[in-house]
Formats: sequence, C-alpha cells, structure tokens
Amino acid sequence: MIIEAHDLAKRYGRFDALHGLDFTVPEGSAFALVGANGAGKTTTIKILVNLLQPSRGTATILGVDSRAISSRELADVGYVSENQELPGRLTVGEYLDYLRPFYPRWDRALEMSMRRDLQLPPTHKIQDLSHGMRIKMALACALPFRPRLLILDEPFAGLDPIVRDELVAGLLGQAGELTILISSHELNEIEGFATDIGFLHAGRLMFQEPLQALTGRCREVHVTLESTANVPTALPAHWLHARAVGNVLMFIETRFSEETLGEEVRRRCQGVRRIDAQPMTLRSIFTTLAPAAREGVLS
Amino acid sequence: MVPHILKKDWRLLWPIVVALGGLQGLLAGARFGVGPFTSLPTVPMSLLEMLGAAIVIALVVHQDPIPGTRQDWLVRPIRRRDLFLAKLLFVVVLVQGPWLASDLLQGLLNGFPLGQSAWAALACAAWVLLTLSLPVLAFAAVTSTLTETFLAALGVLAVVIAFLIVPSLTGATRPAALTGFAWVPSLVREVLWLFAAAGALILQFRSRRTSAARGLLAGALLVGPCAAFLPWRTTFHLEQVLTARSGDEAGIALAFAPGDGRFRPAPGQSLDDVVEKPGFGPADVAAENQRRRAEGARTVFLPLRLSGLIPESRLLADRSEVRLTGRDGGTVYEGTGEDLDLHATSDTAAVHQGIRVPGTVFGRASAEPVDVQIDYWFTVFQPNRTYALPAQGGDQRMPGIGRCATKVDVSGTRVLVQCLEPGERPSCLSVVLEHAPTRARNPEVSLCAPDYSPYPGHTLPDALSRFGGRLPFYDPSGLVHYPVGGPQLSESQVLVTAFRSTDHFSTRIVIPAVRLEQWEAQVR
Repeated sequence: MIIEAHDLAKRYGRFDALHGLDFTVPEGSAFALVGANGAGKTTTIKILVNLLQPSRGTATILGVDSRAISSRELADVGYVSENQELPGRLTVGEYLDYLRPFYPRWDRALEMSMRRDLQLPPTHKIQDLSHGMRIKMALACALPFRPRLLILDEPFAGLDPIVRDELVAGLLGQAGELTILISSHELNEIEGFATDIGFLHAGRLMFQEPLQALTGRCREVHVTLESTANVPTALPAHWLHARAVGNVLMFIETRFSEETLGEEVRRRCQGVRRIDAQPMTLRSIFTTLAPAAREGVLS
Repeated sequence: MVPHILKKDWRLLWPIVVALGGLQGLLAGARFGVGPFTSLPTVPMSLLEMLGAAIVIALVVHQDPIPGTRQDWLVRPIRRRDLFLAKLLFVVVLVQGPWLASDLLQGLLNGFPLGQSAWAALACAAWVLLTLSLPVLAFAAVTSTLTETFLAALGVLAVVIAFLIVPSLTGATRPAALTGFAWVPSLVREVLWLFAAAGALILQFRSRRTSAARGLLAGALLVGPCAAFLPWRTTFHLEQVLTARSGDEAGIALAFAPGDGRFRPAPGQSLDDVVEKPGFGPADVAAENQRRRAEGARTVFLPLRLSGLIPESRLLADRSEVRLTGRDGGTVYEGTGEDLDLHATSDTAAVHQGIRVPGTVFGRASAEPVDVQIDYWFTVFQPNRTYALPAQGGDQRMPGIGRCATKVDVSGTRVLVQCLEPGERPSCLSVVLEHAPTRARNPEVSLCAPDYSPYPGHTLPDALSRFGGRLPFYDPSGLVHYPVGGPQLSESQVLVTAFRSTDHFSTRIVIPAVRLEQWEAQVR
C-alpha cells in the first residue's frame, strides 16, 4: 500500500475534524476521496503530506510515517491543491528552473511537453496567472519529476469546464505507473479515472472500495406495479431514497445483485409488473449517499 | 542546494537589497563626510539602518514562509536545514556584508590600519548578527507576512516602552545603568533573547511548531528586559565570574578624615548639579537637575582619605550605597552616593563623598548624630601612554586611543577634542589643556564611559567609536580664571591619556556619630 491510515484523528480545539480514519490506497490506483464540504478531505490530505500533525493515529506514505517524511519521500510525491501558494513574484519559467535541481529524476522533455500542452506562458509571473492557469502551473510542477504518488486536493474547484478537461487530459496523459489520491467535488471528472473511492462524512470514513464495486452495487431501481405504489413500511437498510410516483416505486439499491433483487422486491411489493435497475453515475451515487450519511441511514 | 535557494531569493529581492546597501553606504559616507566635530542624528540613523536590515531579513524569510499549510515549498524536497542556511547566508552576505564593507572602508578612510579596521568591523558584524539579525530571523520565522512581523514588532515596542515607563512610575531602579557593569544585565538579556531566537528557529525550521516558537519568543521578550533590574551585588558577582577579575585590591584603604574640613566648591562650581557624562547628555542633565531642585534634598560632603593608591592611577566608584542609622539603631535613610572619580597623584588622596539626603530626612536628622555606612564598588584604572596634540587644529592618530582632532568651539571659550577609534573606545580618558612652554595646566577633564565587558563589537551604529570632550579655557562670567587662557592657546597642547581598568574591588566604611549639618558644603 502506498498510503495507509490507521485511527487517524485530528482535533482543532474542541472540534474533531477527523474521527479515527482507517483506509489504504493501493499502489497504482487512483483513489478518490469524496465527501461534502467540511467532511475532512483536505485535513486528511494535509496530514498525509505532513502539513498538519495528527492528534491521534498514524498515517504512512510510501512506507514512512507522515510525521517523518523527508525530502527523499517528497521527491516522489506530487501535490496539487486549489489553495496552493506558489511564489507569485517568480515567472513560470523561473519557478520551474528553481524546482528542477531538487528532483533527481526531473524529466526536462516531459516538463517542456506539459508546458506546451497546458499553454503556460514562461515569462508570466505566477501572481499574474488566472486561478485555472495557476492550477495548471501547479500540475506542471508536480509531474515532470515522475512522482510515484500524486496528491490532488480539490484541483478542479473554481475551474471552467474547458480547463477541467485540459487538466484531466494532462493528468491522464501522464498517469502511467502513478498512484493518485484525489479529493474533489467534481465527480464527473473523477469518474473518468478513479479506480477506488473513499466516502468521508463529518470526519468519518463511511466506506472505501473500488469504484467498479461501488458502481456495481448501486442501482437506481424502478418497480412498476399493477396498482398505485406505496413505499413499504419496512425497507431494507440498503434501499435508500425510496419514493412512490403513481404506480412506480423508486429507490436506490446499494447492494445490487441481479440474482436477489427481483425476489427481494416481490417479497415487499404486490403485483410487480416490471423491475428496471439502471446503473448510476458516481455523481448520482454521491448525491444519494451524502444525505443518507447526514441522516445516519448509511452505516 | 543552499546557493540555489540563495540565488532564488536574490532574484526576488535584489532591488531592496541594493537599496539597503545604498542606504548603508550613504549613512557611512555621511558619517565620514561631516568630520569629527559635526554630530549627526545618530539614533534615528541607526534606527533607519536597523529597520531597513530587519525588513530585508523578514522579507527573505517570508519568501518561503514557515507558518501555514498552503505554501508550495512545504511539499517540495527542500531540506529545512538548507533553507535555513540559505536564509542565514543571505543575511550574512547580502544584508550584513555591505554593512561590514562600509565599516571597514570607514576605518581605512580614517587612516586606521587594515587589521584594526577589519577586526572592529567583524566584531561589530558579529554583534549585529547575534543581537539583531538572528532575533529578527526568528520573528520572521514565526510570521508569514511583513504585516504580521510589523505587528510583532509593535508588540516588542510596547514591551520596551512599558519597561521604560514602569520603572519611573514605580521607582524601580536599574542599578547597573550608566556604569561599566551595564554590560552584565545587557548580556543576560541578549543571551536570553539569543537562546529564545535559536530555540524558535530550531522549532520552526525542524518541526514547524509555530505556537511553541511564538510562545518562546513572547516569553523571552517579556522576561529579557527584567535583566536590567538585576540587583547590584548579583551584577558585580557575575562580572567577577565572567571576567575572572580578582577583586582583591586590598592595598587601598579608606578612612574618615574630619580634619580635611568641609567641602569648599571651586568658583563657579554648583553644589548639587549633575554634569554631563557619556551616555548622560544635556537633556538628561537638565531633567535630572530639575528633578533635584524640585526634590528639596540636601547634600552633605563627607571628607574621606584614601591610602595605598598607585600614583597616576584612577579610582572610579562604580557604585556606592549609603545607609544612615540613628542612635536607636533604626535606618534613617538608604540611597546611593554621588559620583566619585579620582585621579591619584600620589599614594594618598583626599576626597569629599557627596550624599544627597531627602529634605525631610535632613530636617529630622541633621542635628542628631547618625552612623554612616558606605559600601563602595571601585574600579582601578592604570594609565597608558600620554599623547599630546595641538590645542587648535590638531589631528593625530594615537594608538590605544584613536584618531583625535582639536578645535576651539564657536563661542571661543573651550577647546573641543573629538576622537574616533575602530571598535571599543578606551573606558576612561583624561584630557588636559597644557601651555607647552610653561607647563601650566587647566583642570583635568575626565572622559570616563566605563565599559568592562570582555567582548568587543557592541558599537552601534557602526564599527567606530566616537567620543570627545570640552576643555574650557575662558569663563565669560569671570568667576573662573584658567591658567591656560585664550592668549596661550597657540602654544598649548591637549594631553590625552587613556586608562585601562585593571581590577574591581568592594570595600565598606562606617563612620559613627556624624552630624549631617556639620558637613554641608562651605560656600566661600
């Protein structure tokens, strides 16, 4: 595992930002940490790169305790954050020139191609770049040394769709053997390349699993009945967001199985005419799970 | 990677570094250009220079701010040690470098040898590094922006002002102030601040523990100035320990000599007024004299005889503590004695020790016999070679003293002597106006600004010490007649002798049954 967190907690005064997280990021994966604002995504990431110290628990990154990561480990970690403060008074070219000697594996050709692809003006001061260009600049500073791990903290926030697409393309173009940890609200973008997902809510990790498994087990189910539909009184915990419209009962099945769904529906509903189970986008899954987590329905 | 980081900071800050270097050069040029007799506003100039340096130091640290979690450099493989060394090197080379160069150049342009000029410039630079640059580095390391540093500096200023105001409100005194021992509390304070600065820098550059580092600096900032109130005896003891002085000038004895009679002030001499001395300028004198007049105190002058003196040596009372005890054994008054500075011409000397007694105490106890106990802390000074330079237009370098020049002041009543010396000035000087053909001399003027510190360097604003005095030869009021007057001036010379402190010792004298009223000055 390239990242392992055990019982990771962070407290700010009386406020618990993280409540004992346990998660792992497999090498080569693209792990998406999702959750609503204030869920603790950024705090988690900052602990991983030793920008913050955990109040309890441990996190290892590249096999080293996050509190002890040194320049050797940081030479293998790329980091891009929406809030990253780059030295504004340097030009794009000057800053890349400055960073290059710190990385033994800096790939000048890759740097040049990224500068070209991301259309970074070398003579512009970083402080004069737009937000989107600054994020691109951060990405251009995070990839040319071919890191083993790339950490992206809300990289798409505040970007227009074109820049987002350019960024994702830039990211995918360089992915290779890279392990990616990304936190983002932009679930559509994440869905394109994430392999694993962790859902964080109010400082607690509600679940972690491969994205394929998550999308595989979540279905939007429409049950067409012969008569007017009513929401059954005793719903299984894995049926979320159930509602009835006319003679159709709708719900989100979070433990979908082709074999058992029909039987389970028929056990609870009379006069079933048809069952449709549609795959869901990550965005739809998240918008279903987030309120459920808030209401304490999701365990 | 240290030079690489340094190069980046230089690229970002070179305009302000060049401006600071220019300012330092300009001020050094101004000091050199005006010559020895024009006094410049030294304090504002020094403050400007130090403020400029502090701003550049803060800016260079803030290029890679340490507090916070958003800075890009924090996630780069930049070793903290390299970063710190790069910042330190920047300060030493680019902030203090021009300062050192201008100090060196000033020494050379004033005709001092390269070795002496370089040593003084280096010592001054080391002092600035330890007492200004490192603390500012530490303050900058716990802040992210110049505004934050400015607010921290306001906090420092508030503490300094509080420590200046509170003693005057509460009556607390700084026992070592204006004595040669003042370096002891200063050193205690500076060492404390230096340790706090070093601690804060380690905390920040190693583990970014900003709250702990801020707490450490704030604590040191509050505790440091308290060193000024170090008790006198502790200060004296520390001085003995730190300088390994024996303190056993046991040959010098002190006795009450009532036969020497009452003090008779010289014509024109005020009984009670304090006089100017180094570190105690005209404004201080005016304020102190005004305070004294308002106080209504009376001064008694007890005749004392000293024996066992080394001829031509000087004896300076760094401090004297007086206690008057009534017949019933109760303390009538406790205070300090007036200044005592003696130039011995033989192995004995007679002096009058002035003791200012509050008016109410004097009124109550003047007719009653009181026991007087005086504890003295003396320093013995031995003379070095005496140099002579013309009383008018003299300009000469005198090893061990400095380069001194003379001229008659605009009022035509005094000869001005002004000296420059790379590094520390001599602790004590005597200057006297002598008519060369007849060897007639005017009264000697002592230019003692004792500093017994065993280390060099603390000569701000630059590496040159500037000192001097005034030798009166004509009194327009007609009260004083000088052996060497205006007509003899063209054939006269100023004799300058430097004295070096050789030992300190303390002694006590107890004089029983003294009637204070008997020992007030006898006005002719």
